[in-house]
Amino acid sequence: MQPRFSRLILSTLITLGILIALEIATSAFLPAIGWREHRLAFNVVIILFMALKVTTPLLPWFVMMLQLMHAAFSVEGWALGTLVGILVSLIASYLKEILQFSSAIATMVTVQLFQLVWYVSTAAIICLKLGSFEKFGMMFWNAMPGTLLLSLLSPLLFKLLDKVWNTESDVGRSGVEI
Amino acid sequence: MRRIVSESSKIKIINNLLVLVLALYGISQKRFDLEEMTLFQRLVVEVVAPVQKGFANSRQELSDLINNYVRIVNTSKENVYLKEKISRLESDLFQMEEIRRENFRLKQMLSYSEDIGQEKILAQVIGWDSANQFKVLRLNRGSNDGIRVMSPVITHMGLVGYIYRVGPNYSDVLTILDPNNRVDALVERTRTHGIVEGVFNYRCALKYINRTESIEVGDRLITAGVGGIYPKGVKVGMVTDIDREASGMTLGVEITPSVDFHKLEEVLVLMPKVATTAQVTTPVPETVKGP
Repeated sequence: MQPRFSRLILSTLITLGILIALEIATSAFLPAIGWREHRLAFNVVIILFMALKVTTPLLPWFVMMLQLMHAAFSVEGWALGTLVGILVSLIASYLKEILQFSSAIATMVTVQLFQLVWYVSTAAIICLKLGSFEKFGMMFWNAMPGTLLLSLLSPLLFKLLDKVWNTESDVGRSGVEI
Repeated sequence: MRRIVSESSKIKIINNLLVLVLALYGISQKRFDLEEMTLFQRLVVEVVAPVQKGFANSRQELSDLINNYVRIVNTSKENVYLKEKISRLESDLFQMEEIRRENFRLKQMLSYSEDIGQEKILAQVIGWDSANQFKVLRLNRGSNDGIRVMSPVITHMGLVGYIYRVGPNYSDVLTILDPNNRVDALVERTRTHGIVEGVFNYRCALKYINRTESIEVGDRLITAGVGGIYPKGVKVGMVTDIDREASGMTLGVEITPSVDFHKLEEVLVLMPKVATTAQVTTPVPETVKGP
């Protein structure tokens, strides 16, 4: 099924709006009420949703767009997340047949597993760039509490994004061709 | 049908390759110790930072909101009026207390800033980096206020970090908690040199300290003043743990920063020193701008 181009643009703009709101929440609202230990990387979950549930040849550009927006809130920059996002989406494209989102627990487990892949890759690339793997473990473990919380929130976020991308009718199966 | 699928696959592969190449180029150009904001980033930061600032400014109101909510969850209907009244009074009291604390902090900062022979700008912390791997905070001051990259950031308690990237009205500080920030430091008592690096969990490590050095828990660290970023003598932290069992030629030294990053609200950005000749002829007055 070919999507209407205007629908695609609208979904992208709404997703970017959601990302901005969530980035403001994690960088300003949560620290303001005392939550400063761990950041919730909502950009990762949104990219995972795109990789797992939206099938389009334009996916790499969407990932890049989301990361460009994320770069305004983090010195991580756009390139690292884009590279890892594409790697994760490639892995997801091979596993789509066996991945299920029929229940909240299935969504949480899938998101948690892909977040582990994400953070292993990110930490490895940063260490490669810095020329030392000394802080690899610390970088990875430091992100874990945030990933667990994000996995718990992921069914809600996926439900919201399902509505935005019109993939909600596709319960139990991943990957909607648009 | 097969042709359509293969066409779609080709487009997918081309898109993936194009973006991968762009991303790899981006990573190869990326520096974790200094960065210039792109026009797009400046634009987004200019739009979203006021919202972040709004949250930072309403810290007390948000805290009151949560406290009040928790407080009234179990109250009975008869007590609502009285509870609300008490809550209002407590909120006023909290606000008064907050103003008193802010006043105290600013006074401390002002008296500390008078001791530094350098021009400086008072800035407010309005946000933290949204990624876990980086310990960066955002200030409500930018290049329009005179802030430049690599300017040191301090408080009366000690060293915070340096300006990593700067926009017209906002700037980002790479704190000493970040593993990409390395500070040349001195142990105040023994004058031993070492490099302080962030190691997450609001702790730092002092590296390259010879095993024969007589460093003790409780020793204070100050900046060494070499490297051209930080002035000499700013407090960095205190030795809280020494691992003498660690293998190798150096000691494993854990540092607790002097600055309590959990409670950091205002900072001082030190401005680059003006040329010596200019200082002799026309002394630059010390100015502190409000947050």
